[in-house]
Amino acid sequence: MRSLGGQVGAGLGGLLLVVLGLPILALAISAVPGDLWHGVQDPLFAPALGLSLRTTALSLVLIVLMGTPLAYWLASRRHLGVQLVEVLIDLPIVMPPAVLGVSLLQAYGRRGLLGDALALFDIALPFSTAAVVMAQVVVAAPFYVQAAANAFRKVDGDLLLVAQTLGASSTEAFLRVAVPVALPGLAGGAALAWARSLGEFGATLLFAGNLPGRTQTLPVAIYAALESDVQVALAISLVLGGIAIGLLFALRVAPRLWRLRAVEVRG
Amino acid sequence: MSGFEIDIKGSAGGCELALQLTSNERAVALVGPNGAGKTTALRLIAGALQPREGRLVIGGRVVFDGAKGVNLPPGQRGVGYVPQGSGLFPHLQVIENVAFGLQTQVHGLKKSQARDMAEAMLVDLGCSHLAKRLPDKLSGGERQRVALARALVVQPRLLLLDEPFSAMDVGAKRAFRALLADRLQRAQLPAIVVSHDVRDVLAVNAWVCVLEQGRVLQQGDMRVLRGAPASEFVAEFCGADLASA
Repeated sequence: MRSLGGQVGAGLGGLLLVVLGLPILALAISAVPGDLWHGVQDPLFAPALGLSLRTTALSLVLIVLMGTPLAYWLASRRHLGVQLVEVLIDLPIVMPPAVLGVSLLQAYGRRGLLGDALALFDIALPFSTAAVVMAQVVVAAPFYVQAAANAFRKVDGDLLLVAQTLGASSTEAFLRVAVPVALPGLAGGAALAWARSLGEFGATLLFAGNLPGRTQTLPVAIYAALESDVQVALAISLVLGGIAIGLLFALRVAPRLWRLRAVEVRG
Repeated sequence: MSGFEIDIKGSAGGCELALQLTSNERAVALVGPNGAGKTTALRLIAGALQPREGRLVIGGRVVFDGAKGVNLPPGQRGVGYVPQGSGLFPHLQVIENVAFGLQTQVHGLKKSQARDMAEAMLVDLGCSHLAKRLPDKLSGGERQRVALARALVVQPRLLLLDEPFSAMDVGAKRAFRALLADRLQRAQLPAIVVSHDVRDVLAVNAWVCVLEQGRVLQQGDMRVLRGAPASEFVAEFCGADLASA
């Protein structure tokens, strides 16, 4: 027989599950194939999907290229400066996306910190596709850098020393030992960062605007469609929701498959 | 010219270390209680840590000289390092582990040449049948053999082994002791072996260096140490039950 405290705890936990699950369920049962097809056919959908895929692919490449060495540096040093850098990297996670959008405008906008310097080279970032990518990089990079730093911290330092005594330079040891050993963690971080950039809305809307084919990504298209045709908004939501569920499934299942494959290869 | 001369001072993780050690072709067993600084000593010699002062000569070549500002990176010191637990790269097959060093910036062999040499080394150490396996499918003894093959294939001038017998059963220990003694003698290769077991010292006929609290407390042959142990630890170490070896 469960105690009163146990029953209350179970009730509260169950209630939270309902609160979390109900909107997903509501979205799933609203998926009428005919309406979904109608939504996907809407002229809003294809350009937004294409733009989202292109910009998130580019932002992911940038995040991995710049974030991997930074994460390695964070993992291999222990001093106050590292902790301060870690706080700076984590800031976009706790900061409201709308605030990030305003901050981006203040930094790169026409009247922003670098506005005059960019104008000299005839570069106008706000309300451009480049602004979409920048907003995605800012909001998603912390997820990758955190995961990658944790993965690098788990790499045994002796492995790198052995590689170096065998003649590897520090760059070789990093590329041939640290990265492959940390790869599952890096892949997990990259998947999370990609999911975050795909769903990015607030900073994008403020910094890049809502220009179809140019800055209107899938989440921004949902916002635009809600004002004209709810079915279109629903269809785009289902596509994004499906991608998120697929990604979560892959993140949970992929490590197990990775291990199984390794066992098969060895066998 | 083989052999090494070590006279360094340094610190790591709160452990202050002062090490003076010279040997020609003979193995040196570095012994001492836990926390004495044995692993730190190997890491200073290998180049993972920089000594504060002193001089380090390996195979006639100065690899560190605090006064003259010489500090060669690990890859140019000519050391073969086998850490505790063997340090095999978990994502590479045995053959790739052994060939790794031959394809680095310093050695720069082609893949096919490197694999041929790695295969020959595995045959020499009696573990060619393990070539396609990944490290986590190897026993403790097999891991140490592969790690030794990987260290030897790049022809080091000094071998550093950190508790190489710790993760083995009795039979594997006995076999690996014999193998290591044979290889060191055949190659006339000096080695520093960290160990907790007097049988390891006897197997490789090592000169013993006792470290306590980061300082060399005593060094000499087993016979000398047994005759006049400088501490309780040395007495206990030398008085181990040899009959069960």
